[in-house]
Amino acid sequence: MTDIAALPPTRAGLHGNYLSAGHTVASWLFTTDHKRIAILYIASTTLFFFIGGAAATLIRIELFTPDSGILTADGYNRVFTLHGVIMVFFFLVPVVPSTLGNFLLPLMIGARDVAFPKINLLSWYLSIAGGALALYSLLAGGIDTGWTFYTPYSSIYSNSFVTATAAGIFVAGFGSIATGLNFIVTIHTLRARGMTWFRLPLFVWSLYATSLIMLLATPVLAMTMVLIIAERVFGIGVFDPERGGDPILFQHLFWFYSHPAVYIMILPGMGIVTEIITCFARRRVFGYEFMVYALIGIAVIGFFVWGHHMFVSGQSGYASLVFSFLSFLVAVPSAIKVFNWTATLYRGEITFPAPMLYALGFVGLFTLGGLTGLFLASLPVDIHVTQTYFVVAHFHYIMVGGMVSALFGGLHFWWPKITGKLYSDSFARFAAVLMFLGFNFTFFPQFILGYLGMPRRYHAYPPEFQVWNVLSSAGAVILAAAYLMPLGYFAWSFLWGERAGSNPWDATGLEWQTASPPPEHNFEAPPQVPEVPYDYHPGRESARD
Amino acid sequence: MKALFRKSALLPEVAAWVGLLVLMVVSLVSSYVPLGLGNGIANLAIAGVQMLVVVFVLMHLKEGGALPRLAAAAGAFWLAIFFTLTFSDFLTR
Amino acid sequence: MTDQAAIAEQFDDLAQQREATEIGIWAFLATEVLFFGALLVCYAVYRYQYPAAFLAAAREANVVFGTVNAALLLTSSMTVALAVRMGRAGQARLSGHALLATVALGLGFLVVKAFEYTGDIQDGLFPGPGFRLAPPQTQIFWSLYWIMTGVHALHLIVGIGVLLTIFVLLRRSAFDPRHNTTVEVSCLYWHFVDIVWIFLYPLLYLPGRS
Repeated sequence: MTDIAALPPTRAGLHGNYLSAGHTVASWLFTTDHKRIAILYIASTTLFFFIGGAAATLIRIELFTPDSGILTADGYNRVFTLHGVIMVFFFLVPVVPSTLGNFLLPLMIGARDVAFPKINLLSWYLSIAGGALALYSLLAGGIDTGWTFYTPYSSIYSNSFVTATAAGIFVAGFGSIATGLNFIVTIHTLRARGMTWFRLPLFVWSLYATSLIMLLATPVLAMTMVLIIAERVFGIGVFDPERGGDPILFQHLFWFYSHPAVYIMILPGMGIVTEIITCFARRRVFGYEFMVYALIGIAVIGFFVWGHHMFVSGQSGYASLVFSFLSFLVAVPSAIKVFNWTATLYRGEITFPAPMLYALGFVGLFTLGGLTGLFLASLPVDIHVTQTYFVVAHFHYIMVGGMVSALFGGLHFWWPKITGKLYSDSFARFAAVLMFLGFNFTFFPQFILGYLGMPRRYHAYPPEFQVWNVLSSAGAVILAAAYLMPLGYFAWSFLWGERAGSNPWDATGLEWQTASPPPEHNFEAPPQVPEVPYDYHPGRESARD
Repeated sequence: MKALFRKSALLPEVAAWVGLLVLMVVSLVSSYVPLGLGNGIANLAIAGVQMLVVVFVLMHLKEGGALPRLAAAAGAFWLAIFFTLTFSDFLTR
Repeated sequence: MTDQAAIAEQFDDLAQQREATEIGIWAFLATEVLFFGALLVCYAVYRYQYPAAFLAAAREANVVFGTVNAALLLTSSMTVALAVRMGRAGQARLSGHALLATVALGLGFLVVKAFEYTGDIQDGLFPGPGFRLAPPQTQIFWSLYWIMTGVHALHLIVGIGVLLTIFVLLRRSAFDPRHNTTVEVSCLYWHFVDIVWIFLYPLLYLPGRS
């Protein structure tokens, strides 16, 4: 068999890839090719990202001044709820598994597709249908409960479009379950010959851990949404305090999903970062097996800690103690990961192209987000900063600083594989640095605001908080520029970029052994599985041609 | 239908069905006997046994590979986490 | 039919395809466990908090209909297991008969349920303004009753649709049940719906009888 990597990137080399397999709209909308479905997801999640981003822009404009500016109190409630609902349920939860995960999982394990390609397409339609319901409620007038839907406000009193949004989350949730199911079965059954469990790339392991959470947590959220809808529509809910309903029970149900969902929103990012750091440090990952156990550990322990969202809700003090202790526990595997990334870098031949900058940014921001998480896991500190901007800053460091950096890193790392084109590295590096600076500029002041006692979810605030809010809003402008830049240079790359060749980074991993863009069935010949993942050799001459 | 029952291989299913119905009747009758808290416990214990019969005999889990068993166990384990930690709150109010 | 035609392109052989669908359905059922699990947690918490109201409320449920339905579903679990056994042995016709019997039992369940729901509503057992039981917490029990049985009935309707489809496919010899796991996978789903009722029955119909 010819080694595809050795072929010169001629025009003929681009013939017969998954992008050229069909050019009609129907060839995209009815495709069952995991790579094309990934592209569909990239389009839809990008749309949701910018809708959620527009809401964030309104929030930052409103908070530029201490008094009521462009939004009324009620309008502000609707805007931050929209921001939360869209960003959490329609962007952060699906984004990495369904875009990069969908594209890369079969390639990385040497399979022709996922186990259930039609169900894979169905997931996309479910996520679109759910998103359409959420957008309908936005256009009809919005929803004002906050993304957490706390009862009895959401189930009885709120005079906004809770039912449509909850139905949207319910439907999209099944898209998420279908994706998780597909991934788990694919990883179990479709690994190429020789691809044993401990030869799997860590990105695949991270998708496995994520899928576990999607399968076992999402149904609880779905039922919680059913209960809210039943109470609003038929009056048969179980959270009405007049009948003895317990609002804290709702919070247990909600956070049983929504805390593990935080790990849906970070584990795939950890996988991406591992792929990038090993490649650009030219080092085998330090402690591969520990990295695997840490991923699974985070996924499992992530289910034991949800009560730390409820320290001030009226839950029993004993339960708070237990949840606090368990929350500290989850820091252990997270720390293992940070230590191992650092150890992987040690004595590596490090280069700093754009993906690496994003990945290193992830490590820094995730560490800061994780450490402030320990503040919040600790009962006395949490009671001081509950419902303040400290919490807002903490979870944005994890979700935006962490996950979005990793997503951008992954997009830059695999862009040549997905499109077959190179992009301008200098523009991309500029955007990466800009994102890191803009992010810290936006969210670090919020730690200070929270510590000083500014509560979240208010449209007005005392004037002494203004300086930090202005800093934050100014940083958001920089951050927005950093997010918009890739749209430009990626579009340029796609149209006029240089051919990438099958392996522009000289990376290991099966996805780099096939052409860029990959052919319809991924591999021309059954792929060769290397002995161990990340077989980089520092100090030796690179195998690059 | 006669051919169905003549085959001895069908016995496990039929036996399981008889057992399930007997258990159901026992559960029903027991709930009319005043046992206090014991009523609920008996009902649930019987339901648990019925579930095991369905899962292991009728759903052929005992013949299946390790992975289906693992998946079933995962469902049970996560449900147990859900109950335990939720009740760590309600039992200690 | 050749073996090759029965294998989807992403799989190497039948064994791999069989393994994938088997893991797939069990993983899906684990999801379903947590889906109903959320309702069970609600039930458990409220029964723990309001034991007297729950016993008083459950006493009003129609135990005759509930018991008949339990028997119907337990029987259907046997017929559906027979369908699998027949299919594996290559007796597609018998397997189809067993599927039809299962569908009939499922429809019987729904008919009984419809009578029961009508009676419940006439009896003032739908939570809201016309609700007739005394402590307000009984409404929590009856809310759970409607949601739990409603979600269960929806699952059953889906199950009936799935089994009917498979029956038609078997009649047309669209697949060979010896090589294809379609029958087995759908029947596992049916068993799950039965198991849900195995738990709903003692939780909704039997408390407060003694």
